Order: sequence, then C-alpha cells, then structure tokens
Amino acid sequence: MNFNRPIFRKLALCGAVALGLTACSDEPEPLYDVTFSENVPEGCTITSQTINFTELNTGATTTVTGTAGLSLGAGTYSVDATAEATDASGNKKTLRAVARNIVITATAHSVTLDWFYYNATSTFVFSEIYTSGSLNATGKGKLYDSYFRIYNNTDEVLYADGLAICESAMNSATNIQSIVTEAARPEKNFITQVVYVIPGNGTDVPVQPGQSIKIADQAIDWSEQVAGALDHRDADFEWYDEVTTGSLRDTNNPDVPDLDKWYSYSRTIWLPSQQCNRAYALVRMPSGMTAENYLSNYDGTYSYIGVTGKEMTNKNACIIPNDWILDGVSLCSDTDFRMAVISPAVDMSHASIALENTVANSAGKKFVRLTAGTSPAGNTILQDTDDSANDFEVVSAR
Amino acid sequence: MTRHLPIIAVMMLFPAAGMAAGDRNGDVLLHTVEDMLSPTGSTVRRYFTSGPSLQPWRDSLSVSGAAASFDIDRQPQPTEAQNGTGHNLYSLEAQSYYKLSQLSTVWGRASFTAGVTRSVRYADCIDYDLLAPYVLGDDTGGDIARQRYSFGGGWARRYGVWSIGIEADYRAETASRSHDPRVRDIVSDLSVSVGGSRLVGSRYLLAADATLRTYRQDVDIDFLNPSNTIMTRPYTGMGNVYKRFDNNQCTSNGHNLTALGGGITLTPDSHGGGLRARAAYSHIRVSMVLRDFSNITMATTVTGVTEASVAWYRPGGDGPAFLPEIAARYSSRSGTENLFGTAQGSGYPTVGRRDNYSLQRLDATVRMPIEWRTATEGRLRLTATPAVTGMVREERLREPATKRTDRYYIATLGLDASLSRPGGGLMRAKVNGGSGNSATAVTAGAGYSRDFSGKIVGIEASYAHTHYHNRCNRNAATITLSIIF
Repeated sequence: MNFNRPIFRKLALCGAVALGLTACSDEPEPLYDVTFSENVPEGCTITSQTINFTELNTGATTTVTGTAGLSLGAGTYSVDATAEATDASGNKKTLRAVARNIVITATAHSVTLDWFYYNATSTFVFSEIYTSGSLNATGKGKLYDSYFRIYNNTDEVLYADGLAICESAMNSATNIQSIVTEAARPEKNFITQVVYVIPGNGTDVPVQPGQSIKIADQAIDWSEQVAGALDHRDADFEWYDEVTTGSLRDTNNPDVPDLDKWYSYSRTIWLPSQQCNRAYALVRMPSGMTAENYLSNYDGTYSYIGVTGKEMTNKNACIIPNDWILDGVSLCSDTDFRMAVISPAVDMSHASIALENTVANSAGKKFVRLTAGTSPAGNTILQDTDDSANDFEVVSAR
Repeated sequence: MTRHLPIIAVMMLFPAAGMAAGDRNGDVLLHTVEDMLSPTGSTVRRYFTSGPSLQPWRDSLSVSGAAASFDIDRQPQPTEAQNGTGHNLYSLEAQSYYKLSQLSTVWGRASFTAGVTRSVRYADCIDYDLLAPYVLGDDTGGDIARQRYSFGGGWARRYGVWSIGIEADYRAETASRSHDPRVRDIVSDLSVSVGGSRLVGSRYLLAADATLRTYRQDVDIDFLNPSNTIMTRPYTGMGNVYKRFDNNQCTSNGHNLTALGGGITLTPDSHGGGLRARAAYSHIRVSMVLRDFSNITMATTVTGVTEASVAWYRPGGDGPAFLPEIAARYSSRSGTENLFGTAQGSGYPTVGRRDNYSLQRLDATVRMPIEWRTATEGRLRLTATPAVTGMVREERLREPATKRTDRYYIATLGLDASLSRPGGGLMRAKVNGGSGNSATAVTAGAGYSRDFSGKIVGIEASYAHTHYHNRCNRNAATITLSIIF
C-alpha cells in the first residue's frame, strides 16, 4: 500500500472533530426566581393556598402551595390560585386569584395576585344564552331569533325587575395591545355597549325558585319563516329598538312586554354577537337608579392601543361596576380567543361555541348551563363556579 | 414551463450521448453496464461519485441513458405514519456522463417523478424525515399526490496531479391532497458542491469536497367542509404539540433549511484493487416558521451527520474478488422550541426557548461481496454478498419526559448472477434474503439487456417482501425500462 500515514491521521482527526460537533447539550433550561406581590381583601388573612401556573406555549403546568422559593422557566403563564382565608371577624373565606399573560423572562419575573372573595353561591344566573342565530331560509344569513334565559338558582322567590342585560363593548377575539383608560380595564369595571332593563318597581316580576324567564330579541314564531325554527311567542320579555331611519325595522309583539332600553351603541337594532365572542352580564341596578342618572354618571368612553400600535377611542360604551354584576359569561371560540373582556372575578374563563368558529359550526347552537344537583328544597341547582368553560355546554337550540 | 423542464434537460443531454456512442462498440458498453450493475462495480463507482473532482475517474468511456420505471409499495400498517403506507410512483429519468477530453468531464441528469404516497398522517408536509419533529399535521391525513422535478450536473477537470470539480442539483417538488385536510406543499431544494483532489503517491487520489444546500418548503392547509372538525396541529415530537398554536390556529407554515457539509475521500485512481475510504460531516439547520403569525419561528432543529466508510477491494485473478466494506452513519438532532410572550401587533416576541427534543441514530453495515468471474467468451459473473446491518435510535423529549429506543439488526445474504455474451445480451438475476430481530426480508429480481446497434436496451423487474414481526407484511415491486448508449 502506497500512501502515507499522516493522511490517515488527518482523516481520523476530521472524524473526531465531526463527532465532537454533533455532541448534544444536556444543560437544563434556565429558571428564574418568581417574585410575588399579593393584594388581599382588607382584614383577610390567608391560611393556605394553591397556585397553578400553565405555560401557554407548551401547556406545561406547575402547581405550588406557597409563593416562596418558586422558580419558573421563561414563558407566558396563566395563573389560577385558590386560598383559604379568615376575614376580620374570624370567618373562613375562600379566595381566588386569576392572572393571564404573565411573561417570565430573565428580566421580568414578577407575578401579582389580586385575591377576591370567591362565592360559589348564586342568585339569578344565565341558564341559556343563544346569540349565534339560526340559518335563514336561504342558508346564507341568520334569523334574529336570539334569546337569553334567566334562572332563579336559589330556594327563594327573587324579583327580576331592575335586572339589566349588558353586552361587552370589546370582543375577546380582538388583539388589543393594551387598554389605556384605567377604569375600562376588566378587573376594574365591565364596559358595556347595551343596557336593557327589565321594567318594574322591584316586586313586579317574581321568579319562583328553580324557574326562569325568557328574554327574546323578537318574540315571534320563527318557524313561520323557516320550518322547525324557534317559537318565541312564549317569551316573558323582548327587546325592541324603534328605528326611524333607513330600511331596517325591529318587530314588536304587542303581547310580550318590552325591556326598558337605557342604552345601545347601535343606531338601529341590537343584535347580540352572532360570532359569540363577547361577554354578557346580568346586572342588578342599584336601588333608585334611573336611566337618566345612570347615563349621566357612567359614561364608558375609553381609549386603547390597537393592533397597529395606534391609540384609539370608543365613545359608545357605558360602565358597569363589577360588584353590580350577578352573573357574567364570557363567550369566544377557543381558536379566536385573544383577551378577556370581563373580570376574572366574574368569569375566569370563557365558553366556546366551537373549537373553530365557522357559521356551520355555530349556527343554531346555544350555551346551556350544566346542572349541579338538587337543592334541599328539591329545586334544580345549576352549576355556577364563575368558570364558564366548565359551567356551560353547547347544544342545539331547537 | 416548469413541467417541460425535464424534457428539455433530457434533450440537452442526448446529443452528448450520441457523440459518446461513436467511439466504442456495443460489447464494451455492455460490459460497462454489467459492471455498473454488479455489487462490486457499483461500490467502486460510489467512491468516485462522492465528490465532483473524482468524477473523471468514474468511467473510462462516456455513457448516457434514459429510463422509465414504475414503483409500487404496499403495507397495511405504516412503519411511521408520517411516511404513509406505501406509494405508486412513475418516473422518467435521463443522465449522461461525457468526457469532453482526456482532461475534462461533464455529467448531467434530469428526472420527473409523479405518483401518490398513501395514507400519510400526522404530517402535512413532505420530506418528513428531514424536517421532523416540527411539522403541521392531523390525525385524519390521507393520500398525497406528488410531482418531483430534479436536475443536476457538473464539470470536472484535471490539472496534472490536481483536479477540480463543481456540481449542482436542484429539486422542485409539489404535493397536494384532494380532500380535507387539503394540503399544498411546494419544495425548492438546491445543492452546490465544489471539490478538489490530488494524486497521492503513484495510484491514490485524495479528494475533499464541500456542499452548500438551501431548501424551502411551504405548507398550506385548507378545509372546504364548512363543518370541518379536523384539527391541524403543530407537532413537537413523539405525539406532543405546541399548545399555543394548536387546533387550526396555524394552517400555513414554512420550513427553511440551510446545510453545510464536507468530506474527504481516498480512493485508487482506477477501478482496480486497493483501499477506499470516505469521511463526511454535514450540519443541517431547519426552522419552522408560522406564516399565520407574522412568520415567527416556532422551532428549530440542528442536525449533525457524520458518515464514514472503508472498503478494501482485492480484484480476482485466478480466484474470487473480495470487496469488504464497513460503513457507519451517526446523526444527532436537537430541537429547540421558541417561547413567546403576549401578542404585540400581529406578532409575538420571543421571550425564551427550550431545548426539548433530541434524536440520536447510528446506522452501521458490514458487507463483503465475493465475486467469481469466468474468463470464457460468454462471461459469467457470480457475486455472493453476506452483510450485517444494524441501527440504534434513541429519541427523547425533556418535557414531558419521554424516551424511545429502537434497536434493529438484520443479517442478509445476497446472490447476484449475470451472464453476458458478445454480440448478445446481458442476463441478470439476484436474490437477497435476511432475518433480523424485527423483520424478515426477501428481495428477488431479474433483468435482460441487449445491444441494438451500440445501444443497450434493457428491462429489469424486482420484488421485495418484508415481514415485520408481529405487525404486518410489506410488498414492493419495481419495473424499469432503460436504454444506455
């Protein structure tokens, strides 16, 4: 063999270098010490707590039972915490704290927990929400056959007059960079674009335990237009928008009382979100509140930084303080969800009409609250954990 | 226009082949074909084609050809769901190797392949093995229709004891599915190699080559069913998904690949006896980009591939010829997922990353063709090739902690026989069988080639049956019509 040995040494060296280059790193990912700041209701002392972190990118979860010594890898986290606490009177309380989009990096690793009283008991709740609408006869448009059902989830007679139905001005599928107006942030207030109130003097509309009232957009028999469609002539109330301009008109059933229209952003008719991507609040207006008083004191004009980075303003909105809300339900399809538009203290998640929100997936489907059990008085108790993803199911509206 | 490029390329190659055919008779060409197809001849040529600067020594005469083939492959269960359960592929190809002079050589090839890969699931792309594990996919899948166009060619020249060469290959491929989930994949793949070699001593060549590869695949997925329930998912390996962009959040992505490689080859300057060795390394980086989210890079893989082979050829004189060869290939792939913060505008800032995936694989083969030839006018060539092939593969995820290890080996014995007669034809038959820890495999084939006025026209058919222990059987067949001149 007539070749020199240095060549082989060089070949061997190249091979060794190549093998070395392929060696893989086994270094663990860096972890960052998380610093907590907690805002606890006044006079309350936390005795134990469980904090769940879910990393949004990977879905990885971390659960801790205290805030000391926690380290997390870089990522964007959702935080869901529960705590047992005693208030100033020594009563045991349950607290919850929810935080979203907490970014942990080498330079940002703090978490703020805003604890709120978590009260799983409820009074009036939305038992059914139907806003997606049914397909019309052509199959291309929708009927205006949406409705809400409000349920007395107690063993006592409750009065529905004075309750308001409100719809969020913002939708959860929008990428808003930030809300500039402090008062418009969901943890502060609910920003609504409609306020329709059940008329009465406070005792005019009794609802028996385990019973409900139905509030429809147009209380007519829709099956006269599309075979098999809903018949809303049994509705307890409807909302009617008197329109004097343009060609669009609302339909009014004289046999069904109308809601009092305190406010609507729309110059024509209010159509609840057929995309099912807004939040709805059932609001108990304070005693003595009038429409004039409300509109003059609760203007909800707010500014926000839009997706393009430009500051924008919405003047067609009103403020609902969060503690007026009896029940709140956030709706959005899972694939479209970008931001929460209602306080996590009211609804810490959202109910999704379908994984992917197409007309075919959503048309004719309604949200129905799950049943939790039966009360001591024998009434059906609906599930109300302020966690709509778990409290509702989606079924056919027919 | 793209559709006609292979035909144009083939037309450009054939005049060179025609010029080449004039300087030798059919018997010489028939013997060259016989040698090309034999286990020893193909092994020897493989070292000459490992770098562009060694091509002048590949063959002593100019050879060109064209072939049409049909390849069918069936297995009821996939060995890897992302690669499907078989295929039907039709291909047309042409190639030419032409000596411009004693010192200069050019070569070229063009091919067109079309067909269907069956029941591909969990990958809506093609070239899965190159891009894994970060791909879009779904659990419905289905057949994928493919069309592949490839072109390549090179030039090499000798300058005394030195030689240089350059070579380029380009592949354009499209894939589509005609039912939901409807995929549309477009691949553009370009490789350029340069090399140099030097005569070392009296009969050895030492060559070095470097290759740059740039590759791009665009994947778009669509659903026509308005009630679609099929979910496209961004896979991250071993059945896991990237949660944030899961469930149809992303239906358009791209893969960008850049690879750098190099190798060193030592080989005799003839088809005679001696040592042949090659060592090569390539570094491949693939990024998966999400088009639906302002082209953010979801994940990146980095793969290092080290290949080495050593062969020793002892030509037969009175006795048999031997060509023992040891070849090994080691690849190491690491995968890094980027982690994103809250949306800013239409994009997401990267706030961290995690090295979550790794794959190590070692393939090794030991084989020793033993060849007997008769020196009679009707030349008989018999080759027995015992071989042992093994593979060890370990795939890991850091979170959730998962590890999968596969170890395969198979021992095979191949028998090749060819009989050629001057002025007549070349008959070939081969059978190969083996058994290992996970499969038993048998391959059989036969071919006949004949000289028609200096052009060798041939037909070849082969059939392969593999029984995967405790799983299923795989059957494959290929038939090829060719002309070489």
